[in-house]
Amino acid sequence: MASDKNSNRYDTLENLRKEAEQLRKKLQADRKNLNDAELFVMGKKSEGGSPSIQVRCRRILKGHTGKVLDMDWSLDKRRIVSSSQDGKILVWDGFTTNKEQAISLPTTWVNACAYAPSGGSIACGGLDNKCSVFPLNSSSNSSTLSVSNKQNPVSSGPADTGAGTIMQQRKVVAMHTSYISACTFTHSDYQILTASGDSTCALWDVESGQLLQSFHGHQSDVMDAALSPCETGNLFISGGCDKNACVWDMRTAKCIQSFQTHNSDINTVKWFPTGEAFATGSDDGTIKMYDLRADREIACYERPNVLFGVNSVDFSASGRIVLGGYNDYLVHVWDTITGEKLTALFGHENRISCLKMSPDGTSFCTGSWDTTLRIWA
Amino acid sequence: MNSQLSCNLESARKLVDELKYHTNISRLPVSQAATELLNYVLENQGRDFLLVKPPDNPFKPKSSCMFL
Repeated sequence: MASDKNSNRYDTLENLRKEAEQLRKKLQADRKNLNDAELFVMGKKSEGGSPSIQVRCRRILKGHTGKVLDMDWSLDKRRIVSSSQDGKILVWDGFTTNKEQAISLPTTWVNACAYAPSGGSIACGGLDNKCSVFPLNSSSNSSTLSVSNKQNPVSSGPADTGAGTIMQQRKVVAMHTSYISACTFTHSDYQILTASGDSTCALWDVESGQLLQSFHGHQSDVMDAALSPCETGNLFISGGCDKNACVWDMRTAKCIQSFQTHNSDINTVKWFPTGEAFATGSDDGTIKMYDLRADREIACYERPNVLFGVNSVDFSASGRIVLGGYNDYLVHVWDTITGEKLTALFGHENRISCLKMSPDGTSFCTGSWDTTLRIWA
Repeated sequence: MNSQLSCNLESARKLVDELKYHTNISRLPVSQAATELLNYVLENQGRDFLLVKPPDNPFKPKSSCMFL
């Protein structure tokens, strides 16, 4: 009797597997059917000439003693937060290159950091499997977060001024079962989205530390996540070591679209300004663009001599330019609509780990394993 | 054995559901999606400060003038 039951279940499992395979084939065919044009061909016809891009390194931010792993701009367009392998988080004034605040975490490899929209706090996380929020001491920023000591802020860092105080103000918001690879505030100071090596993404309430939503689907480490730029957007994208790029609905926790065309780990995902498309950067050395409404890859930025993995990508304000920070220490600059490689920017002396446009689109910042950050404009 | 089969069954069902969802979404032809993307870029690139000179850029060293 029991074995009959088991064999029935086995049949169903086998049927489901077959059904899944059929659906995958149908998905591939349906996506192919609507592939009636090529973006680069259209782009070359429409534009009047190559865009001229003249950017130079304008600031070098020196102060980290370890590899810079992540950075984020404040919405005030001048402050920057950066995090490093040595456990330090620094807040900079990009205009003057002054360091405004230093926080020492009792962990190494702080893979992710983010500025709160109000500018009053920052979030960070890494090998400690947690995402923590720290208030910033700037008189011009008022944070309405109530900070409590209910999470365990025991250790204080080495000889930073007020290190004891800052660790007491630490609020642990997110707890994963593996490292944090990315974190970002949602459109307010009150919620944080995290991506983790435990193959999930999660949405957290900052005030209570409560898990609001959990996103399962990736088969391996999630390396990056990005929230839709649309004001009313409820979507976010993620990319990971399973080579999948996923589009998620935050309300239902469902993966609503999924793309697997990279040949290696996806390290970075960024939205195109309209929120209708996004770019991914991969260890396979390419940047790809996926369109949500066409439901497929519509562009691939690659060259035979660009071989090194891409760690971070971003679009210029209009989307005309896509920038990539690579393991060959360079920023490669591409024309989004023609696929042409416009230039490569030299400066860093080790691989580029993070790259982000400033909120007003006038400059971008890169962080590198050479321990510095550079601002380009 | 049974519980493991149920687990596999459960995740197999979820996967099929997800794939059904993905297969059933309505799609635009690439020509249309790309056209709209191109239009956005061409309409906005005149204000893209990586491409055109911004009215003022505190990162560019004109002089010792600092915006505080």
